[in-house]
Amino acid sequence: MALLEVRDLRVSFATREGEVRAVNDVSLSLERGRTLGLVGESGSGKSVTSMTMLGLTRSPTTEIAGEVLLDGIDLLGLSDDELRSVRGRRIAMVFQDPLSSLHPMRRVGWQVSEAIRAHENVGKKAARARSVKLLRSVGIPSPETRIDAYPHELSGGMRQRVMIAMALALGPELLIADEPTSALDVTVQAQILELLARLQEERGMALILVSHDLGVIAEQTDEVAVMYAGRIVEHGPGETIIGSPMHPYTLGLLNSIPHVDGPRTERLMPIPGSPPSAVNLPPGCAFHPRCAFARLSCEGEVPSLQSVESGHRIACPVVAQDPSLVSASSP
Amino acid sequence: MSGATAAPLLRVEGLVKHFPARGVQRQQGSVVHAVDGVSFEIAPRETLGLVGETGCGKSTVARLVTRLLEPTTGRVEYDGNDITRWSRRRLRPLRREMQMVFQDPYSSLNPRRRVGSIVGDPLRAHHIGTRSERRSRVAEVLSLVGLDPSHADRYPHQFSGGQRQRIGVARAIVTNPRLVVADEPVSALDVSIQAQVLNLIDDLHREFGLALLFISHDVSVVRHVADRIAVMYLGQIVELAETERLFAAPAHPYTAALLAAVPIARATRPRRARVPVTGEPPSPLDPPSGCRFRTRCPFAQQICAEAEPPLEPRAGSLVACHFPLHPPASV
Repeated sequence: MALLEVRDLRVSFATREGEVRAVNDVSLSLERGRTLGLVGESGSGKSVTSMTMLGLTRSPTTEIAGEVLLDGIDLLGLSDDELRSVRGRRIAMVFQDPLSSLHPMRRVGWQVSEAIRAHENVGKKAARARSVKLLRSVGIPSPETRIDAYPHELSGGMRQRVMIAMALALGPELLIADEPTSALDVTVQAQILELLARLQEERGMALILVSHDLGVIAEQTDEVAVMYAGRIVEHGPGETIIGSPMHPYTLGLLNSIPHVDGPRTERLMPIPGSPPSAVNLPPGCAFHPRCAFARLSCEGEVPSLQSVESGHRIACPVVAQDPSLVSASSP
Repeated sequence: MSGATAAPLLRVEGLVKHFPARGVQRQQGSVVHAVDGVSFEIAPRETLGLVGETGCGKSTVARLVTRLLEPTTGRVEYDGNDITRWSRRRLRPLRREMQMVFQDPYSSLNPRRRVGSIVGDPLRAHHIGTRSERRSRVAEVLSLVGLDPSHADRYPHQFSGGQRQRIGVARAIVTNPRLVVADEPVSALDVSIQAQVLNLIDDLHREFGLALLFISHDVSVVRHVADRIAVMYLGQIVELAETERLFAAPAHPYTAALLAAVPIARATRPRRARVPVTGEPPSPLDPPSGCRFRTRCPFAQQICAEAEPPLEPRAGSLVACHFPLHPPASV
């Protein structure tokens, strides 16, 4: 059985402007020790999907439907208290901005210890000793002294290492990292990504990496799900999605980015228009107003994911029927 | 295009900007060495890319060049005139020729004013044309940047992020400037939209023969737009070379590390990010002696701590390093 199984997840928020349908019928599964990349642009629903798994979007104005099964237990059905014991212990999360996730007036050692003591009955001394070990394992130099530093005394990369140490404190089986390196410079990003990969390997942990950066996703993940307007539009092995994408949106994304290697692109091929508002999604396939291959039929029904080859699914009946359409414009 | 041959449109020499530190360190007389001896030239119609990580001083350079900040020492020459000490009044006519595009299309446009009036501002400020001439010029530039001229009476919030950045570009080009300084103009945009704006900047650059100082932290974006690239580290230029050469044979170890750290969206790439350099940039409050990169450089020797390497010509480019990579013979 897969470690995580998400079935028909739907999340919508009631706002003054109307109902924001942030996530629509998202299904995915993840085996132990594997890495899933969740990629999409702002507002595609990738963060809401991952936060909902941890119950972080619960509120009176949020409507959540579907199932999030961790080892067969539906997390959506758990009470807040029950969920709290899952969070940290079995699933942990690392966010984009470590400065706003850390308590500014507490020493980092206190914060890591607190993460341990909230779940386990250990003394202060023992928790502190474990914190030092954790900080060392995430590559913080001289952790015995850094443990008494305040967040503002650490650099951005070091703060993110502290966040990772806190997330790993209880040995979770699944780590969700939501844009963990987007606030960092590239040379530091490379260090954090390498750290995540190493820790994952050592601990056999599953990882969901949420990112807008196709490069990060390509280098770091086994499987990739591409999201657009709250739906997964393409899903498959990383090499396939990056190397021979079939959904017109994925193709458009890959064609819009300039590269640091290979010959210099004379002209980028952007996707025309801009992403739709989640309050007012276009009928049928939400991508059709921007799509070069759109047919009249695309405005009708919302396309569901269908298999095009083993393990590779796209939500585009037009391309699924005639793959030669996209092979000409492959990146 | 080479900046050395034609008479430069912009020439900066030995630019230094020190800011007083904040808080306790201010009382101790500490200064932030934001920019420390930067020199470069931009020829008419040339695009110079300025790339570097957070805090390297690239945005300060943009504000010094446009005289929005007073340099501590150094010179700024525009079209052969030393404008470093010019008064605001004397600078006014120059502002027509020198415009800026900012990073954040949300905070750089006044939300309470109509787009037509925002774009027409520089014309009014410089008393260019009659009212109706100004109005038709605004309509003209709006359609140049790909917006509907009839939308001139809308407010910024009625536009998407990409469209807002087009408005920012329209405002910058409305006076027919000769030099545009663009500070991270696409960093706030999603990749599909980023490509649209990059193509637009490219078109305008070609069509109107603008010179462009393009500042970004994103190496692949700079590679796409720039004729030459200056790489900054901790307030100084460490390498300045033609784009092709810089990417084919980076000479400064920092340049090489920066290029190697960028994750690449290709299926053929070996997975997992490599870590080209360890550590993070030191504080600009107290930069290292000698070469500022030596604390992170894998090739550092004794001399790197003792003597600051000057920015010297080497095989057609400029490099500030005691032990540059890629001996010129092999280039």
